[in-house]
Amino acid sequence: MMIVHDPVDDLLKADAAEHRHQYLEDGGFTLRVLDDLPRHARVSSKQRIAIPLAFATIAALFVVCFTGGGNFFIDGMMDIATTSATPSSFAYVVLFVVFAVSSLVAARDS
Amino acid sequence: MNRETSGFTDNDLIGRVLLRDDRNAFAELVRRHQSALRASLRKMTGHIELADDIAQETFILAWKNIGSFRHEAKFSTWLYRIAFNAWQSEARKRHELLSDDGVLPEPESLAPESEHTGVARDVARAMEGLSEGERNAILQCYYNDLSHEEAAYVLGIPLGTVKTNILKAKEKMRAKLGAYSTDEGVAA
Repeated sequence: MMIVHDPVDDLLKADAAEHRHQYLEDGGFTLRVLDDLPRHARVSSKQRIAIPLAFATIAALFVVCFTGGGNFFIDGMMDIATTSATPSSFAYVVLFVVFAVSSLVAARDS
Repeated sequence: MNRETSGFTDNDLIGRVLLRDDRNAFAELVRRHQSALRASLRKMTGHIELADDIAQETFILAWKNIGSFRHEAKFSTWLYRIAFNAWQSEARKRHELLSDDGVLPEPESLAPESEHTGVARDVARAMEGLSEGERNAILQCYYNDLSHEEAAYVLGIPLGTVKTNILKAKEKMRAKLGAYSTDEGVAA
């Protein structure tokens, strides 16, 4: 089997090897990068779960306060079962969607 | 070098950054990769200060987006990808500046060509005749020592395009570097 040397390949490899072997001294570069890093780069995983859950809790409190205690929950289920569009059934669906989305977001981020 | 972090692998350090927001761990990553990244950017941009500015921006972007690092590539390859995108963005800005007023601010250039050794100078000259895509492919595959697949990831182009660009680039360079050509072959 004949292997033909590619002179361009050899030249590039030689030049690139020389290029890679040159070490650039840090000279304060790392410190400059650290000085410029933003303080809070990311939201922690706990916060990522807490934020949607807080929204869900507020939404639940809101629904409970404005629909006469917690009876809306049972009323809503009954209304949905009998396919009636009432404020209770609407509140039930909203609450369900909020919790479902929050759970999905929390599951994905954790 | 920080004794606390120097014995860790890149992945260990990334884990510490993710879990504890550990700046010392990130500093160790910067120290490890700064030389290769800055050298690569110097080769890519042809300017020392501009290369260091883009390298700094690259590490800051890496810090901000480290949560999205999925270990589908090595950390160094991921850095090259961020750096390449940052350079492309900077090049577009500079091109727009040039189109607006016709004057481009010139940062400090690399060493004049006369300071290169004979072979390096000839290779550099031969590379001047390449298209942007061909030059980028050569830089990633030879000077950053990446595989064709890794180069495709860094440049955000299909693998076939990288291979084609390498072939075309070498063809053009062969014509310019004719004096180095030999017809020798070796039996294996």
